[in-house]
Amino acid sequence: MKFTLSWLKEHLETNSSLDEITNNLTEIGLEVEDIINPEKDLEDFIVGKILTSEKHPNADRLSVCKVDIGNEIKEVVCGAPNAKEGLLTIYAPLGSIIPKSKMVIQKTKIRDIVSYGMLCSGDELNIDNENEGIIEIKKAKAGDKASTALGDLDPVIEIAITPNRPDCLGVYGIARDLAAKGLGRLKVTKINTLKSHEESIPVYTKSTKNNNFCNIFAGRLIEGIENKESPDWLKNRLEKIGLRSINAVVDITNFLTYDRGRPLHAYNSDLISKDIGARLAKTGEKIKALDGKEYILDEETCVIADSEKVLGIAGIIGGEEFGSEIETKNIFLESAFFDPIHIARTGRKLNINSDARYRFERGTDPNFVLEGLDIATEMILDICGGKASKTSIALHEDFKNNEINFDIKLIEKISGIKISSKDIKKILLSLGFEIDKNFKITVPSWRPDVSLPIDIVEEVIRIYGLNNVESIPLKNSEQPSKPILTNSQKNTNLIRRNLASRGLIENISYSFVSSEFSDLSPKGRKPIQLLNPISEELSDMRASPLISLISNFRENKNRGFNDIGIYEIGPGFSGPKPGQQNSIAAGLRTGIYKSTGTERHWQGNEKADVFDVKSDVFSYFDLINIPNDSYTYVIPGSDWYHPGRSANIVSGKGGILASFGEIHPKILSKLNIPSCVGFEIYLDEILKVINTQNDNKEFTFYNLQAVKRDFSFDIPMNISSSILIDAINSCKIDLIDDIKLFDQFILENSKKSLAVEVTIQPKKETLKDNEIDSICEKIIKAIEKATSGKLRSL
Amino acid sequence: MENLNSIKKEILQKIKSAESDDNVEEIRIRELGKKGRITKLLSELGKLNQEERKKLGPEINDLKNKVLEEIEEKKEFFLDQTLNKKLLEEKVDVTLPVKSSQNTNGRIHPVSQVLDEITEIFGSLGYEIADGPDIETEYYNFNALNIPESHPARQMHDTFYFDEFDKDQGQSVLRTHTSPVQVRTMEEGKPPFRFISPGRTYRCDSDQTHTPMFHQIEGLSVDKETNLGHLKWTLETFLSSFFEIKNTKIQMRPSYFPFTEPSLEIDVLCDRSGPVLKIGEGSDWLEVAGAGMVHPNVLKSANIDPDIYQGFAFGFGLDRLAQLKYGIPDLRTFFSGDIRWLRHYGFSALDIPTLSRGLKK
Repeated sequence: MKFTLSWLKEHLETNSSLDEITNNLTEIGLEVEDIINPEKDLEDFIVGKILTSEKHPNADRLSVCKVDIGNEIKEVVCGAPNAKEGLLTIYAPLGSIIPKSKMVIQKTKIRDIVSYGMLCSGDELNIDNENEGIIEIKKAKAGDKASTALGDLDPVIEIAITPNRPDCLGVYGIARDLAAKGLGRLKVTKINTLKSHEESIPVYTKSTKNNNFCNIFAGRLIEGIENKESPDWLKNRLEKIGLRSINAVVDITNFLTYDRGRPLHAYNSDLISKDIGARLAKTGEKIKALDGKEYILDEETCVIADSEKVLGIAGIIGGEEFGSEIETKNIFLESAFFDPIHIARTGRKLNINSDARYRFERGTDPNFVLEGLDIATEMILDICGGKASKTSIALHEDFKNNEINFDIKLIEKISGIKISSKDIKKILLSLGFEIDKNFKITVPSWRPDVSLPIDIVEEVIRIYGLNNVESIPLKNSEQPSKPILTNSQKNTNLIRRNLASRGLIENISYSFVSSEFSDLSPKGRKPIQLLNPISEELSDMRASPLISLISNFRENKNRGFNDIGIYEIGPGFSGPKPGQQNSIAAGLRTGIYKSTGTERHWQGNEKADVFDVKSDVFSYFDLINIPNDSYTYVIPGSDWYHPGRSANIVSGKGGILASFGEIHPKILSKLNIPSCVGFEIYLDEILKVINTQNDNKEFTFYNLQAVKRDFSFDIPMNISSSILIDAINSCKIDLIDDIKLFDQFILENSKKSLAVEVTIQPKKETLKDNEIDSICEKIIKAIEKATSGKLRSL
Repeated sequence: MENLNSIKKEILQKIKSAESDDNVEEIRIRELGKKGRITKLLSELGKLNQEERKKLGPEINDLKNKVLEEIEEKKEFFLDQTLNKKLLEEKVDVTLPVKSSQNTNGRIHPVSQVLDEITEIFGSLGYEIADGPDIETEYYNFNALNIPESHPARQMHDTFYFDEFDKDQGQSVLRTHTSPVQVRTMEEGKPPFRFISPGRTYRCDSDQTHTPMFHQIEGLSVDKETNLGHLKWTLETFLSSFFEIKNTKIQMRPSYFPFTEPSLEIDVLCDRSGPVLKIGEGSDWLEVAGAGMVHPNVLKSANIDPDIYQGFAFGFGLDRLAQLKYGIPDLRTFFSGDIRWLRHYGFSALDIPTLSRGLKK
């Protein structure tokens, strides 16, 4: 919302300075976003008189001017077509800052000729929108200060209005707030109710009890006007805040929009047949609007229509053919109250942004419909002449102000500040609230946002000043007796630092990826697509952060980084409903980025392989003590891994704890990236298997010497080593303390040899040879049975 | 005994001029071997009378010892020579670079690091951490937070939608703020509450200061007595700890959020005069957070009686806090995954922020 200082002063009698006003605006919640203060901006600028203007020797469109700036003459290169001898204009000296572009003027050589300063256009000076040539000044002499010569230097203030404050979408409302803050007196304008005996056009509203889209529809006929260009004061006012002046009638409706937050519309009444009012559109009805576009309407859209046709989309935009042109003689001036929710829905559906929609959807003052109409009528009669009819009004139901029973203790309870009842009353009254002796508050019709006692608290402390709030310590009521973090959060923190300590770099990527990636899964999962993605690149929710890492590897590779180790802890999505997401720690190792590796080294490097990512997974399992009998390998792993070089680690309950492996060659070739290995750890599943009990186990010393035995077996190639290990575990021999697989070699006829070392720890007494032999016997039997292999040697 | 002296001279001369270990060995055999000259002299001693033996015995023995000593010395000399030659051949270029583990290259993303820092501070103030889903329903993202349909504030949010509809909960959306976690967490527990909820948030917006995904952190404190004064203290305490500045000054300005009433924006004192923005000094204000007293309608959504309980809520941009604290200029780079950026701005795994060691690198 933009307005000028002088405009504000039309409604606010004040001696406050611009600074005081803008500081207070922000303090009461009308945040100042920008101030254009020409007087300050133009401090360094002076009036210059062009003494001579000659064509630039090296450029057709430039001229070299000798400019008298009072006490000296400057040579300036200028590109304006109107830089003629004798012209008075504004000269920007070296070091000055151009208000619009914030460019600092420096001595510059332009096509071999040095320019000492610049001659400025109105646009560059933020004075007007004229950018065709340099500004022309009349009553001044060379050397005068620009700010004096330019005369009317009305500062423009731009404030951000939060959606709850439609009353401040008009300058009058802003003035009221400032007056309440104590910055002056609100000038209450007397609104003359226009009396007339002329007949108007009949009006209607088709609002129903269940669908009150237009509670009041009013208007009047003004005939015999002479529409014209707006008078300068009106034109200036609108242009200063960036609106284009169209013609007096349209400008007056726009003026009311910005002055009072009251949108109006003026129809060419010659084109209205019989009556005019608000009704719902029939499906398929069309209207060509003022923005030149045709809209097809439906039964949810409120339109302004006569007995035959649609004249405009209610509260949003008028029809192109039915507006007020310069030659229009007879108009119907409409003022109505449209339901905010209705307007918001229609505006969004049709995607039309207009000043009217902006105000109606935030809520206009229902009690100002007729007053706004009167003010605008009077202005039209003043400027364009003509004869106004009486007002025709269609009212659905009477408006009732909100009433709130208020307990002033609530103010201190919420804000911690004590404010006297007298001050509370003063603030509320100045904002237009009415208060009876029991502190029952009647909310003014222009404040649809105030309906609860808490809203009254906000009003009072907003004006009283939030800077009066004092800090009050809010300490812990007791010393915490349990950790702040949940187990899940602790584990996430642990894995984050664990992976970083293994040389992986944490990445955070968008949760959405290109559909190219959701197609990657060879089995094809159902993509989870956004209805309104910001770009094609970011259209689908990722199934796993691993996808993001693979995509990220491609980008880093294109920057020349082939050997990277990255990880991300974040969501992977399985569906479009809340909760259909998993917390996954995923990692990717590429090139020579091994878990045990170094950067490219003269002693040679090996490529990262499936065992590097497996060790990433298991280092975490070890860290959180996942017992090795609580999971099994399921081979192969998930879809995006190489089926022969991957696995899922599955808990006893069937949940996937982790996956790891080489990335599927099909994905690699689709994305044109070299071989790499990755892993995913499913943190929610992990949480189900970890032992959260902190039982302190006592350490037991065994003084007896442990016995180590090596076994080697020839087993079929397709039998995993884990089957062999599991077989030993399945013997449930207490004395077995450790099992190490220390050798593998491939034999002929699809066989391989695996060798294990088994540590047997006697606990009470030394084992006799036959006892050891019996243990070995059990182990051998179990393994041979499980693997259909043969013992090679002991 | 000229004879013995000349023998000694001769032998020592020979040893001295020996050119190899083999030469020395030859001398040793010739003089001290079984048939060697000195051996022979010794064996012949027996044939002499006692007086001569007494005189010659020690002399010959001295000769033998001297020769033996010289031979050994010479042998050691040749041994050293050979070894040194061999060792020189074994020379390696010790200036070659060592193998250094990649493990020190690991990094923690600044957003994670800053979250750990914030967790430390709020943890010490008794705040727990609450999590919630990224995909939300319109109900939790809007309605339960006092943003009914067609509320103009819904447009402020640039929401991402899914083609998924629940008749009670509305359409599925990507959460536009972490505030839905407030309602979900309160629904599941009983007041009083103190928690923060950090996480990914999404808005359909992209430019230099907006990315379609970013991180927010919200705080909520609900109890029978919690007012704006407590809110101010909490934010001042947090900012002082986070930026490690004594007595951080903040300014509260009225604003509007549908889920708080009154709503405020929080500015922190800063100095923009130098090339680097400094927090906590100077005379400018920098907006860092939104805050307010929880709207009674939000408490009602979570089945909490607003006549008994009240509370405050505040929200920060997590990425922005990281930017301010560690001087990271461009938000977009946070999610670019550029390995160079991550190495530069990332933290070592061992930089674990705690209140006792400090909350900076």
